[in-house]
Amino acid sequence: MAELANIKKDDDPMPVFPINRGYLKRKKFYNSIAVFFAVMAFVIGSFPVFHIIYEAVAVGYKYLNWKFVSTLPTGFPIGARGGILNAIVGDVYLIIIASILAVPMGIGTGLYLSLFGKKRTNSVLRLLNELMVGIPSVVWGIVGFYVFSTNAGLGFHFGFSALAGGLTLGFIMTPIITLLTEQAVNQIPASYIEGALAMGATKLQATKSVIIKAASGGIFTGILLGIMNIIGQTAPLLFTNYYNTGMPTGVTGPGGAVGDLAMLIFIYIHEPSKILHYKAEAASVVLLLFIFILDLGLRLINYLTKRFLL
Amino acid sequence: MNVLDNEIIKLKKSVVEMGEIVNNQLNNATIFLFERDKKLAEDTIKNDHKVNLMEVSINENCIKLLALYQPEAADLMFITTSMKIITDLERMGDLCASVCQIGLKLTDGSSSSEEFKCIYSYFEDVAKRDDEMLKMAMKMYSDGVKDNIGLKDIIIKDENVIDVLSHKIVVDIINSPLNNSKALENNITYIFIARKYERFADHAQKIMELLLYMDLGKDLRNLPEF
Amino acid sequence: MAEQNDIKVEVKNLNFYYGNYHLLKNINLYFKKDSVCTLLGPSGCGKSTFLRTLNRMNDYTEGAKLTGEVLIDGKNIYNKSLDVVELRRNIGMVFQNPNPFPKSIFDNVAFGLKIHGIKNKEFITERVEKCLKYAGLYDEVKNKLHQSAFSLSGGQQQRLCIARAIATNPSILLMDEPTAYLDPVSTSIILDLITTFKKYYTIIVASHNIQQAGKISDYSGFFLDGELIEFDEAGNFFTRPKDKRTENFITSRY
Repeated sequence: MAELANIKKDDDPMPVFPINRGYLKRKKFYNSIAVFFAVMAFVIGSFPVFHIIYEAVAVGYKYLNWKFVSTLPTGFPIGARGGILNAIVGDVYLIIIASILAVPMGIGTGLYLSLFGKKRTNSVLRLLNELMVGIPSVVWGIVGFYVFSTNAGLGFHFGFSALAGGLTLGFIMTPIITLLTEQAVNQIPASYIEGALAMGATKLQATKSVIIKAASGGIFTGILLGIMNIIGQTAPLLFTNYYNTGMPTGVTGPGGAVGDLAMLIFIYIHEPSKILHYKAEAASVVLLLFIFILDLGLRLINYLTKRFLL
Repeated sequence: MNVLDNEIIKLKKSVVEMGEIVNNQLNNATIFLFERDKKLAEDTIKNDHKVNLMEVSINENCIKLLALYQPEAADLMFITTSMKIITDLERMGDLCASVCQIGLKLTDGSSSSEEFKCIYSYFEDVAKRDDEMLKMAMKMYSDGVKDNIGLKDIIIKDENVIDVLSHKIVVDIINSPLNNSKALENNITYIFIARKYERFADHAQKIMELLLYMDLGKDLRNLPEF
Repeated sequence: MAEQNDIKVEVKNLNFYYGNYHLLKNINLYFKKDSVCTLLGPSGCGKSTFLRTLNRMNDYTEGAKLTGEVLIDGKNIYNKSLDVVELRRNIGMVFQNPNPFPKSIFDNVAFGLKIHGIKNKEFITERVEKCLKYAGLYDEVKNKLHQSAFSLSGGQQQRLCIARAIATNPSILLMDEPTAYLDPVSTSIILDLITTFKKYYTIIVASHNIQQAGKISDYSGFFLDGELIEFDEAGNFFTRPKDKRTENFITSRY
């Protein structure tokens, strides 16, 4: 109070400082340069994407029809006739198997990191998780081969199969889901959790009834990103699943291998046949559409759960 | 109904109760003057303490209301006016007590009511008017101020009538024959008592003025036309 | 000192440390049954921390240490054998910003019942209705009980939180600046609620708004830098504070 009064008593007017017009002009100029670079970055970044899509559609448009996605490949070399149904079905197999492993594990780890863990264990876990995100997919492939496909590792002997491939992909997916789940939970206002705890809920009850719902958006994004990541993987599948031109008869053993869009593109493009090259282009458009539909679908599910189930 | 509303109703009740007690004191003092009942006078003097205590407690309560609820507008006016009114009421209570205090001197048998029949009739008149004014003031307080114009006239008229009456008492006493030295002393006592009654009316008038002020925001005392 | 059985909560020599910080310094006070007590103080003076020691919300803070006793109905809540869930059922808490759960209005109020294992649907429906009525919200939301709680205005959300807090039938309500983020009308509705609630609950409110605190409190305490400077009946507290620092705070002279 006393200090305030003193300031008033001094009655010292604020000195007026001159406006530096040149500086203001320069600032405006810098601003426009920054905007220019931002726009350029966007154009340069997005041009290849749009160009690739354009090329793929332009080359593969002949095969973009219902028959292409609903029939198995036939002819010689295999795939010269027929479609890519084997790869689509195989992708579904792989996604389901990978998700069964990765979704609960990823969400669980994420929740543990953000809610239950102690500071020290958390920092170790986080480090490991980031390491897992950074592991090259080829390494995952070798590990998957060693652990799941052969009986050398832990005694699983799944052979080149959907199960071995799916599980390997699941391990790639897990850290992504973990990362996004933790982020999503950390973004929930602390008052939600506190509110539930103050009502006498245990941490588990609070998690089950409040936190998962509040964080569902982030968790869904995590799952989506994970699926998008694995759907484009070929390296891990080279060692664990490879490719099947027909329908799988099981999930393990000799009949367990499935087709896969990314592998299909990889294989077709190596064949010395123009038709297969065109089909590979068409298949990449289908892959893009596949991801697009998946994205829309998961977003819709998320929206609907938020809107109606709460 | 919020808390402050309840508190204000309570405040109003206690002020009205205080007014009733003062009114009772006034009546007791008057009855004592006429009947010379020593016990009644002593009771009245003792009771004055109760009025004083009430003033203190109501005052305390008002301060608490101001501090806790920060009343605005009508509530604020009501509480501050109540605080002023109780000061007047307390003074009125004191006046009643001092009427009895002074009046006790008359109980030694040296004066009789026969002697000053005419003076007593004046006292009766003044006491009745005092009583009416206090009742009206408290009614204004508890029911809210209504019909302002009419009230203004009544207040002024009543006060004037009491002034005239008490003046008459004084003149009559001065003109009355003095039989002995005791009579002179008694006469002076009567003049004092008459003064008290007049002051009582002054306070009653002030309460009404305060209430009008609360309602209109105009101070009657300072307006030349009244 | 009040009569022994009038005291609901008693705090004895309470010290609270967070790491190296000594947040609450030797707090001694008691709260009477069925009264409203406000704890005043500038931000960061420890009043929220103090409130949270009363229902052990600080348990989850890492690095927190507490000494002393908090007796509720004569029992030390920091006793090892005490069931925290049971304790929190008995103590409702309302937070600074309205924090309804991302659920429907109905489920928000029913939450407390469900987590305590009540499954009887009729009972829950009846209780939810009653709590909403108590909180003065029922008429406003009776047609949209199953809509999201976020469709309500801030003031309504806060009343929903109050309804949620009383659903488990607590005997104590802790409120941490319950009107800090509300508009004047919602604020006065909540203040009125608090004064009507004091018949049923012992209410302890942390606040830095002196005007609002005066309107609701029976008792008031003043916290400064983790110390309880003064604790007194509201009438005395707001008219003749004993300590100069309290006086400076309630007259806004710093």
